[in-house]
Amino acid sequence: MTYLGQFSLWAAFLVGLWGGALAFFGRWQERPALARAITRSSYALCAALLVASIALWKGIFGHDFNIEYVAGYTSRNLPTYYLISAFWAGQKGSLLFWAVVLSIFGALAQALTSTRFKAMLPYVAGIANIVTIFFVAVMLFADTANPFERLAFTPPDGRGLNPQLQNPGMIIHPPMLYLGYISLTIPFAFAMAALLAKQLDAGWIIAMRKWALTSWLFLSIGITIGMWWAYVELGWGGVWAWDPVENASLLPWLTLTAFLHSVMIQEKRGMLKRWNMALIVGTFLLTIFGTFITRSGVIASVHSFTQSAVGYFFLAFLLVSGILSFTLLYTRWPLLEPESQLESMVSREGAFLYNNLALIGIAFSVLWGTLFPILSEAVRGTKITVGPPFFNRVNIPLGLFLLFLTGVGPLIAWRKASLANLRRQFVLPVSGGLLTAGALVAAGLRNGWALIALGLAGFVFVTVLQEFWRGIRARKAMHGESFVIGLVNLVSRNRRRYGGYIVHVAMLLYFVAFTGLAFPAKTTVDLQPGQSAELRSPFGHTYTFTHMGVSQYTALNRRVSAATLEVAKDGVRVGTIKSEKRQHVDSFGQPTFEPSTEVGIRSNLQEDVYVVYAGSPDGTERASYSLLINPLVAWFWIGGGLLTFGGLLTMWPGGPQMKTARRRAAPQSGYAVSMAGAAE
Amino acid sequence: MSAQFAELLAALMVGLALFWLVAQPLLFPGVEAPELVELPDPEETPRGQALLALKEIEFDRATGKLSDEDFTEMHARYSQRAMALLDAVEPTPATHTPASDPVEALLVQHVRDGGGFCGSCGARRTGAGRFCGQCGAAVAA
Repeated sequence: MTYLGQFSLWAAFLVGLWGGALAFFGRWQERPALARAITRSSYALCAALLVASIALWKGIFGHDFNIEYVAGYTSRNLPTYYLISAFWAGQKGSLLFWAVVLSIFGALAQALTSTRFKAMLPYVAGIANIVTIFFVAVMLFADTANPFERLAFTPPDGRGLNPQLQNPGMIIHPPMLYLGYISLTIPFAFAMAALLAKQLDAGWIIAMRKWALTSWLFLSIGITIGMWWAYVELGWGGVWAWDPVENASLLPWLTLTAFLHSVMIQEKRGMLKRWNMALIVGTFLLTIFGTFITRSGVIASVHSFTQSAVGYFFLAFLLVSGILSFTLLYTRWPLLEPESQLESMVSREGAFLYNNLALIGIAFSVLWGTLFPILSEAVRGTKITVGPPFFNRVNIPLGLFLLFLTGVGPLIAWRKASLANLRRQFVLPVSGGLLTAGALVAAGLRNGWALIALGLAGFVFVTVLQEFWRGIRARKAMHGESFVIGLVNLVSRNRRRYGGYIVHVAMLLYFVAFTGLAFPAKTTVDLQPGQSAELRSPFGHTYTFTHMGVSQYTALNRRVSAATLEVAKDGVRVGTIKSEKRQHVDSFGQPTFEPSTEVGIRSNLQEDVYVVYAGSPDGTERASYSLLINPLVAWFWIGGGLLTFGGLLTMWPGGPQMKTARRRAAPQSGYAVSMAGAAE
Repeated sequence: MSAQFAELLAALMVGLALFWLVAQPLLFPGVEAPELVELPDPEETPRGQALLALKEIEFDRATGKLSDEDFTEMHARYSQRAMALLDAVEPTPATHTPASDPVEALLVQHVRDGGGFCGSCGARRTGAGRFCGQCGAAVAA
């Protein structure tokens, strides 16, 4: 199927180029047929890339090892579900994955966007096409980037998938992050389309709002699953290492989060139009920057694909798209005048501005730290890498300031707030925060940063509770609704606000979990079967670990040495934990990768017991272990679930505030849909 | 039929299908079907925005985020803007009559109503009574 795959790539390239050229130079504004042809080019591009993807999957599932990519990332004994993820496990496949997903999003943007934005849609198609065919062009023209490249010979078996990628999280984490990265092209395309069409009212924001939320949700889920993967797979007991590629995923998340807040000011007050445009352009450029970091090998990272010239394609694309976007923004600058002024800094708008400053501050510090090795090499000739101490020192205070604002923003009215009302709004949340911190001091916690973080978490939590409670009470007073009906109507009529509050609770759970993770208890031990070791957890429990022995067996594609520990908590047996050393082999039993380690974890809401089997001397059952007790880690994953729920709630269709009015209007005034153009 | 030939045939068919998909609107434009044009959601119109602003001010007052003085001042200001919008000529569908526009009706209601609320329980004030109909507390004139 490589001929069909190659042909489809070329067809996609030509169709995308045709659509892009028509969109920018085709004078389609005067010819509706041409505008329809541009939209069709998006569908054709998507169809061509779907055919190419099916061709690659056919090669993967058919074990066609004459295809270099299939031989490099799969083997006959690789489980079927990892054959699916092998599509995006390597550089070449991930380029095709990126292109096909972007083409699907581009086609969906054409199909799902309301016809009232039709003056923008051909531009949206043109921009989405151009970004897509850039990825196709990399596959077609860069050295060793074509997934359909064939070998001069056919090996009997493939190399298999990197053991670290043979984890269920790896089936979900990369596609989720890719979906977040890729879907960001659509809000960017709408922003550029609005600039090109000079339609700079709130229309483009309404058209792209759900796309931006979708991107944010995918990025958030992708980052969280990436944290989970790092925790269960890499064996160092943490979730975030400030690795350049982790940072690259965080950067667009930060700027997009800033955008999602500041865009509300534009929607409500007609302010910050230039800032929002700059944020969405910056966010898109950061996704390309992230791709450049991952694929160029300019910065060492556990995530990087092998160093290749592909990275420089991305650098060139980053520069060209940055220059063109900001030039276009500059030419439309006078059309982006604010419609009103900030009435008071003590207002919801003011809180959002501070929130934007904090988020952009964090983004700059992360970008600076990530680029520092390149900058230091350019200036001083030596590559200096800044590690977690730098990132933590800068970002912990900024992050806590952000957490503080998460609690402050909802308490202040739009436009302006008086001192008396602020006092009334803040009494309960501040008391909640102080009580939390006080209780922790009484329990023996003395770390200042942890007290601030957990105190602020208490403050934010009470803020959200108060918002729900006062909203329900206001509905009861205004409409006479019961508690349950009031809650349902409160949320369903303003899903963005109350879905957002649920996301705020999710974020505070992340802060709580990060705070807990700063206080691990750890030790390394060397045990004979039957010997025990003890470790006291930060919550004061004493864990006893008894080494049961080491068993060896062969599984589907690996040889396994599994070491088992019996665990007792405060003298009561709680179960066993198994950690493994794995040597992956091909179907002929030959080792394929370096040995890898599988961590053993027992988790509850309070703390995780985390065991890493480091190995045994040959022929003995003596085992070396790293033992860790990590407090509060489970709250990351609970926060992730809550974040997904809150994010989906904000995006759920329907529920505008004037739904009833609109429905009533339909029969008489023809709101919703009316016929036009029939006279032509 | 060899696999290679079948693949070439498939490629040819894909190519023709793609060509048809893209070129059909240009080669055979035909008679254009009347296009369905969606009107903006009410809350996206200037009048809808004005109504939302007033409702938001009222909700902020009801949840205790706005003081009585701030509420009175802001409500008057935003009502004035809303009245200006109501007076302005706005392009509307041919079938539109002022009485049939629910956004306009709601806007008028919110402007006229003044949005008074009881300072004690937060219930909406109705009429010009000196006591709240919900909790009986005296209300400012």
